[in-house]
Amino acid sequence: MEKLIIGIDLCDTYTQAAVLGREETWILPTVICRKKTKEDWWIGEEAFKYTLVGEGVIVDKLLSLALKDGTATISSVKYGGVWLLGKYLEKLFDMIRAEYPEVPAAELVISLKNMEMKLMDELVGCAEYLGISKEHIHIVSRTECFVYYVLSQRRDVWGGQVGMFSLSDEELCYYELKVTRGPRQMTAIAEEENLEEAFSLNVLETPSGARMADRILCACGDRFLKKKLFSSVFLTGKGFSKTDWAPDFMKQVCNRRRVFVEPSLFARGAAFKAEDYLHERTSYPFICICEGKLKSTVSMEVMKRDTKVQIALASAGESWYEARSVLEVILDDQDEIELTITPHQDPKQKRVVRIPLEGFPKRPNRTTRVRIAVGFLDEKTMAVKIVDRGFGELFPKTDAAIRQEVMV
Amino acid sequence: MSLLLCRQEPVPSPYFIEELGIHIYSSQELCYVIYHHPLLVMEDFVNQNLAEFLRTGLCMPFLAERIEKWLDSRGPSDELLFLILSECAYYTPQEQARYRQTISNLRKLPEDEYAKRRADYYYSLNLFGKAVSMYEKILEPGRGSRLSGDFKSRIWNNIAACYAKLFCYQKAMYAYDCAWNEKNDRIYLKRMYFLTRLEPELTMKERYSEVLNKEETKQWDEELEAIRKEAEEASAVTRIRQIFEKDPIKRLAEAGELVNNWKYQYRKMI
Repeated sequence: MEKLIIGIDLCDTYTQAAVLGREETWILPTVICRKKTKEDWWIGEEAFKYTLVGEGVIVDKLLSLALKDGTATISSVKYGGVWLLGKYLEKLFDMIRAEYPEVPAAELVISLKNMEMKLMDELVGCAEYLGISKEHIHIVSRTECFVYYVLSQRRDVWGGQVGMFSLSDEELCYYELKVTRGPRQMTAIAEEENLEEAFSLNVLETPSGARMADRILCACGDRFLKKKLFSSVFLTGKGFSKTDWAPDFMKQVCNRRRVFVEPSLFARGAAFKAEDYLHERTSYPFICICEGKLKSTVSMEVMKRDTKVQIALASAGESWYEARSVLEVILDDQDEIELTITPHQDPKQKRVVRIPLEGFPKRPNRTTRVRIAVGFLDEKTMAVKIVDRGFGELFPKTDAAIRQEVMV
Repeated sequence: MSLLLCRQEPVPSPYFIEELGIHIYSSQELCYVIYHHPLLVMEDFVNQNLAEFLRTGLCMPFLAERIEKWLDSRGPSDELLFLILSECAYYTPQEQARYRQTISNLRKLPEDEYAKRRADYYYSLNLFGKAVSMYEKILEPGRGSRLSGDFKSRIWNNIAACYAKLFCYQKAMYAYDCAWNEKNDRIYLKRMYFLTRLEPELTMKERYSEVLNKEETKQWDEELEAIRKEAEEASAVTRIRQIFEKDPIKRLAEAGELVNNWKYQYRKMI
């Protein structure tokens, strides 16, 4: 192996890590433990082990801790949540690298259930600290990993509708994917639904608990799979590492459908996505509309030489976290910036957002250059910054600037 | 109403236009200078250096090559200005046509009138040193002999104005004297009189005492007094007053900055 292509699925309870080309994945609890007497750290099952024998102090829910800027004090030393998360990732990387000594990490994709900007920034910071440059770190949603995993399979697996149940200690979630052919490109639309029927996996330890869990799943299966045609159904999560506890559900779900069980689907999907970043031309030529991706295209009409053209500032299917663009234009008899927002799934619903350039200096026509920078705070909020750039030394720039948030 | 898309990459080294004292960072700025300063760009503006800037600075190698080929084969031409405007597409075709007309009208002017217009333009840009040499070229022996007295007097008047702006009052006095020789316009007398008031060591020639009358000089004195009073309230003077009201450290810093600016402006004028 020349390069390490890593996919990691991170959540508060379990972490799954996959390396492309490796059959097995790592599944370990998202916990870290420090030895009481010195700065030695362990993660996963080892962390539990040292805690149980009384040698270490354990910290769990690392993502939540980092997100709320929490701290943990171990042997009179206060550690920040972000620092602990970074340490956890460092140990996780050590574990992966131990199997692939001397192989450099080329691409890393981390999948998250909740795409919160703060946590995403912190994770990128942690991974950068571990020696992976920013452009090789990507954070995606679990839904996107599901899409990449499914689309990396044979075409007949995803020719029609694809459903998936994810069962873990934290959640019971249903995902659905449909690939549609457009005039120019295929579109993969995926949605997810968190189910209120989630239960603790501890109940599976007793026969009555398992029966109850089976009944819950059957009810969910009934709700989502009935009267629909599926090319395939996937089952993932720690809850489906064994399926013998749910005979009725398995009978229901396997009825005239192909069913695949893959406990580490998100980590594997992340690894497939990571691999795709290495290619100049994508192996997944479709627009992916799902959580973490923009559902609309934001564009602007500009004159390029003598022709009016629409320039996309952000395109539907782009990751909102990574979508940012900057362009400079000269105002020709115009004192506002017009942005057109076109939903990918319903282009007729497009709307125009006008941002008046209040407070900008009055100059002769075509002597005001403005820089327009856009970025996203979340899937639906775009931040636009417009700055006066003047017109060289003929009309020097001023401090005039506008920052506006636009709902997309 | 529209937005013109611009190149974002910074220009590695901008193009300096000495006459305007500015650097050019984009093709749009270049077009602006060409369009708004026709008299500045009609002679020798499009040259090898500009072609090089278009190639390396603005990444317009095709335009640069076309200019170079044209310069090599046919020499400088107004067509090169039109070519730049059309290639950069900063101005509309209608505006470009208007510009062509302006250039064509200027080219149709008699040679001396065109030369005077150019010199006047340099004067309007406060480039008095350059303007003087351009005016003097018009009056060169051989060329000046065929000019009318009225035209020559106007040229001398403008030379005098340039020298006066450069604080060379003696040379200004000489130029007004020459202007009077070409045409006995009393405005030149008035200006010479004002020069003597600005520079007390200067005196008007003996021969003017016969043509000056007391009533007239009294009126000019009153006029000068009014101008002086008005000047005292000018924003530049108010600024100096404000500087000297500040504490010594700020005063020194701002005064230094002001003097440096004056020096810079004066160097540009010469």
